[in-house]
Amino acid sequence: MDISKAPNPRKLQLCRTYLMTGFAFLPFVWAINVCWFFDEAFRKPPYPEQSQIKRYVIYSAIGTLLWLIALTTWIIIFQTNRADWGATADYMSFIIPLGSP
Amino acid sequence: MTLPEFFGCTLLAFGPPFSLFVFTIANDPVRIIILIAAAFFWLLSLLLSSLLWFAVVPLQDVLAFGVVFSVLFQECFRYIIYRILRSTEQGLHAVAEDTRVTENKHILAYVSGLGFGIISGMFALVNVLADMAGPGTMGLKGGTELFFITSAAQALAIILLHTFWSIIFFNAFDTNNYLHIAYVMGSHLFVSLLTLLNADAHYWATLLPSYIVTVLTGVLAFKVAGGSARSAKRFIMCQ
Amino acid sequence: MANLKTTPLWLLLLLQVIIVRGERTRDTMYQPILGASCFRRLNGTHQTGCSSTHSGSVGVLHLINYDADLDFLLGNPPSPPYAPMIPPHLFTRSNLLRLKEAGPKIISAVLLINKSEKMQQFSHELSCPNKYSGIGRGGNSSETCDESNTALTWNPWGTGLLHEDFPFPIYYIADFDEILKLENCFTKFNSVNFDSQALRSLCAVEVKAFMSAAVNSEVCMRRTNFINNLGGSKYCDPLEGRNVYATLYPRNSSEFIDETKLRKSNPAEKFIIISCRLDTTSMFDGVGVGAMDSLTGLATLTIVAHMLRQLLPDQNTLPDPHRNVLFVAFNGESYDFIGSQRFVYDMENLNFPRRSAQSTPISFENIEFMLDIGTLDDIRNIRLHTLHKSSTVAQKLLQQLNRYAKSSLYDFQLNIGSNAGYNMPPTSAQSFLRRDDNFPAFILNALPSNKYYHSIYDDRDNVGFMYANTSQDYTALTDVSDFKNFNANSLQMKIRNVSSIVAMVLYETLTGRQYEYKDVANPVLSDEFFYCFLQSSDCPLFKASSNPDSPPGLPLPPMRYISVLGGSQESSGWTYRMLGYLLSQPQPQVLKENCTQLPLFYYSGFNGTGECRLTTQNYTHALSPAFLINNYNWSSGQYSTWTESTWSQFSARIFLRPSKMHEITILSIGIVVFIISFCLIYIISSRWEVLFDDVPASNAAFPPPTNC
Repeated sequence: MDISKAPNPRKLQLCRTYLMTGFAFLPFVWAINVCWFFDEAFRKPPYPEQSQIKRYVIYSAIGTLLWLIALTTWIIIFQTNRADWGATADYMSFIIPLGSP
Repeated sequence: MTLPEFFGCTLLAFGPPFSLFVFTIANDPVRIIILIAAAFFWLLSLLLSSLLWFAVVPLQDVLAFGVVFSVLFQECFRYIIYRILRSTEQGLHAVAEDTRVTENKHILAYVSGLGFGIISGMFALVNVLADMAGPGTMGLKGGTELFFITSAAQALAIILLHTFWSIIFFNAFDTNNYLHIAYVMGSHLFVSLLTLLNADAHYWATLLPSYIVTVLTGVLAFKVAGGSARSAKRFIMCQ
Repeated sequence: MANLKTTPLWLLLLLQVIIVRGERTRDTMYQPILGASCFRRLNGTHQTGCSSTHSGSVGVLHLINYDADLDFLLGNPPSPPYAPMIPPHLFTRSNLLRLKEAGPKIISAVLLINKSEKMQQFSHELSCPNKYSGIGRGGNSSETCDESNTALTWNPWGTGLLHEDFPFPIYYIADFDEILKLENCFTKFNSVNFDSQALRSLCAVEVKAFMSAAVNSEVCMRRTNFINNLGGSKYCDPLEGRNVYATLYPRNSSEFIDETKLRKSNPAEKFIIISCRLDTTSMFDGVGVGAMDSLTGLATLTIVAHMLRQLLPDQNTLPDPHRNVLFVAFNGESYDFIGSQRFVYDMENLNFPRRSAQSTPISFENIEFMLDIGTLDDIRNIRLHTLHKSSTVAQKLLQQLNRYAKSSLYDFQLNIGSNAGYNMPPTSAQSFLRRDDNFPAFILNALPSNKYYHSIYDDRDNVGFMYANTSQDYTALTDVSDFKNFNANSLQMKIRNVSSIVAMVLYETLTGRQYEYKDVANPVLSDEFFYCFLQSSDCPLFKASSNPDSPPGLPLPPMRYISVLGGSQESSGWTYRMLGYLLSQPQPQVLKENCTQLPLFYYSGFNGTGECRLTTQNYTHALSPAFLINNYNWSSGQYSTWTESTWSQFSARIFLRPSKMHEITILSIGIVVFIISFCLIYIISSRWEVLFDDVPASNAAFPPPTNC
């Protein structure tokens, strides 16, 4: 849908729904929220709902960032220690590489 | 062929056509459609030539026979696409956002020629590339390691030639210039038959005349499309 | 085929005509090299063997003629990685470890070429084979075999490379034509000028031998059995095969299949076990017949069995009518006694023979003694090994053996010594002694003199076998003076002698009477036996011991490596039929139609006419108990833990590897052309109107477009 054609309360509602959905361990929804509403929040001329949208977008951005950091950290830890963790790491994996520890 | 070789050859053969596509085709949906339609017609000509090759069993080993008929089929389909484009001009004008497509006849010719060229270049090279994936290069049992780069250069020449040929060919039919039509057919046949020399690894004997023909055809196409020595000079002098 | 046909068509249409004779372009770039590859095996704690990288290891060929040639590769080579071609005499532990140390960046593959003129020895087994699974007080194996003292090892020439892990593939090329291809390619492209190698395209080889398993058996078995293993991919398989056993007399102690009842052995039954090893191994897949290291033992066992069958009267006429002889050929003994460990485990659990065999189980109480035939490198000088000097059975056996060996009646020219104590050879008896060191197990073993133990070169040349192809009857015994035209020093005669002695001793043990006849084993049987196992499975003896309707064997020797589930299991199959045939009794009254159910079997027979015989042979499973026990402690060393990694293919091919220079040139040409065209076309398209300002001629021919 074309967000610029929607009425302002509808925008706010959408932005809020995306923020809430993101709490269900769905960081990509937050990331989409940030991209989608970035212009609305920061570039458009001010309108009453904008401050609220702005806040939601910032929250989503923070959430995305936290997820990004957490996931990156975990992936680095897991990949560097997978061989050492032995069976535990195997049980956590779905795809075990061939021919390597 | 190793990875650097692969990228080198791909960039050489498809770099210029890609640039052409980016700057002259990509921003106009109508041109993209025409490009793909032209490519489709080239594929049809390929299909016909293969059927013929398949049917005429005794001549399957005589490459020259296949080459001649393949050239004829390609030119036939170039004519067919010319007829189609000219008859849909009105409709195109209605849907096109950029009216230059229909105002300047040569743009249609150029776009369909590029479509012809890209698809034929792709078929020429992709098969060679795919068949030779792996860590080696040419030369274990004869052949030279320049094989890949000459193949790529040849493919580039073919792509450019098809573009030029289409411009000349379309214009020749518009103006009933039979000399130009004969030139297109003749040079196409000449370049195609030249590649038969590759069988004996005379790469330079193929490549050099091909590029001479390419340059000549390019100049002719430039003239046909409305260019002249004067305008070229003006262009270079940045006036 | 469709591909081959359409390719020239495409190329033709695409005006890339380089192929004229329907030959694919890639065939001119690559040339396959036939050979055998080394692969990865794993035990409870380590991985051994080799693996290539996932896409195949590529290295520049380099021929090694002298040790010094390696210095060129290990110094600062101009165009790494390399693939040295090494003849067997330079395939030594120190050289291989140097190559391993250099790492896969310098050495990416090793080719072993079959130029064996200068070879003196070639054994890559440990100098103490199976040293982690033998007997030894307190788990100390140095008593049975002392690595620090060559005289006390069982394979003094062993380098132990079979138990090393290599980061590169090792590929063995046996065929001289293939070696010539490699050498020609090397001389044509590589050895022209070594200093300028970095600037040239060089002849290189790509070896594909990627192994899925890693670390050790515990890890790869866990991953294979893993519940998350979505693709169902296998990482490794346990080494697994079949032991073959047969009794001299058919057992008449049937048991009904009743799963609910505990099985009980029959205490009246008495067995003498005669055993040997069925398998062998080598570093390379599918090569190695193990002529000296284990085939001599199997031959002896087979001929002893046949001779006893011919000599002995009916079981009821023996002094003890419950005595019987159990012949067992153990499989997988090269890998920590897989077969015998499982046999002992089954016997302990009253699970031998299996329930499906419908006979009462045999327990250790039923075993009178065990005579294990080990490696008979020098068949003239054999020793009888016992753990305890005081064993009266052993003393009696030794005395009997020597009496027949030295008897002037036969003139066997054989010397049988004795050896008591822990210095026991690595044979199946160790599995029995490990469970109970008072078990009456004795080993017939010669002093080690096999320089090619467990290697690809332990072939018929190593035992000096020449097939006589006599076409004579091998099913009857012969007079001791009838050599059947064999040289007294030939392998056939030596095997005849040792088998005859053992059979005579068993005859005396069973009947209580000395053997006084002049009939001895037939050297023709030994001739046929070795022909089948060393040269061709399509041989008279195997033909005689199959059903007349079954297809003949392949004209290759049967594979004798234990392999894994679903492996060929050729050697156990042939041994099963052959032992069954030689130990069976003819049943002339049974018609062919009724001769379909075991123990009756319809054999082709010596002259191929077909005969029904009453057989006694069977299989038992040779899979280490480690894979049966839940939560087995893999590093405990109690049972064999060997597994074999899975792989998808073995292949090697040679081609020209472009030099870095060439690659960079082509890449730069591509990039430069691309960038120039990009800029040029940008400029042209932005100032398009300037270039084509003239009114196009063709436009005039058309009416201007109408506005809609």
